[in-house]
Amino acid sequence: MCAFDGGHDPRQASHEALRQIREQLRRHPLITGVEGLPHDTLHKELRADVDPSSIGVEAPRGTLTVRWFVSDPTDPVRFTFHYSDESGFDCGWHHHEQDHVAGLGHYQQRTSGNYSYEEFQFGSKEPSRVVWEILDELQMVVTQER
Amino acid sequence: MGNQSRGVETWKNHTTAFDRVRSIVEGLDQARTAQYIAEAAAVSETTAHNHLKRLTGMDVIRTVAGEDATRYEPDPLYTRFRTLRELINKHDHQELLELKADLQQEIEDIEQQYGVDSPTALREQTTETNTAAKTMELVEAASDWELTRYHLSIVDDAIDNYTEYEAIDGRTPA
Repeated sequence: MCAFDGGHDPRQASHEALRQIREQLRRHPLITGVEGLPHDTLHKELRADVDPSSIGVEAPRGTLTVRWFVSDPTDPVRFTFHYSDESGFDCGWHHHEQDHVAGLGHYQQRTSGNYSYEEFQFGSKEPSRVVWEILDELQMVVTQER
Repeated sequence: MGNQSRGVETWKNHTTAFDRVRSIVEGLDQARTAQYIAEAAAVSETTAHNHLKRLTGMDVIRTVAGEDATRYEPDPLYTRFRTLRELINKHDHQELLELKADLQQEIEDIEQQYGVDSPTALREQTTETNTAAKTMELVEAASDWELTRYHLSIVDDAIDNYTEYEAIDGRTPA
């Protein structure tokens, strides 16, 4: 039985957040496919195929991996949107504890084997809206990287 | 980096106001006011009110009385039944049993890796970590464990009631 019947259930919130993210990813023109892992319906992670040519940008195809964690209502939501492409380009927009910048929100990019970090202020922390914000950022980053 | 409205115009170009309100309210991790939902969904408060009323009538979401204003949150039973419906659509009884075994194995793997018997015990270890990376690793593992337990409870429901659901569905055994 569900241990959180009748109240806030972070497990259900995590599941539903990923479900909403998946639906939004499917609607975005940059995305050509999305799968849930380890099971398509009962997923803990999403992997989306990104094809920059679908919006007219000449850049390698890549994969966006999404994780989302809801815990106690007093705890901040934590999530990662991480991208890597066929050329080895690797970056991510994350919201969780780390030792590099103040606050939880940050952008990280791998250069010469190590990540560099900078603060990132998310416009919203609602799952659906974060998708569109990050894909807008991703579009800008892959365009600049060409 | 970061901009309050980045991506919103593209979102509006590819979705309806109802789509956006529905996706925001179904993804909430706590009950929120119509004003909050309107802002997050990039719609007017009047539009949000209308769509929230419709979604409440459909039992997709439910209302919670607040001190200042009515709040809205996903209906947990609707959310659970929708996942159950997806499972029944995609899997027969044998596949559900195999899915259950996979989920049980995932939980056993986490138990063995961290040497604790519950997600709560794993979360308690975060008070002793020395780095943010280790803290995040434990938070992720505990969350995965809890989510797998939730998934397992739905698979159990599907297995326990498979014959009845199949009869209601009007489908012949696979």
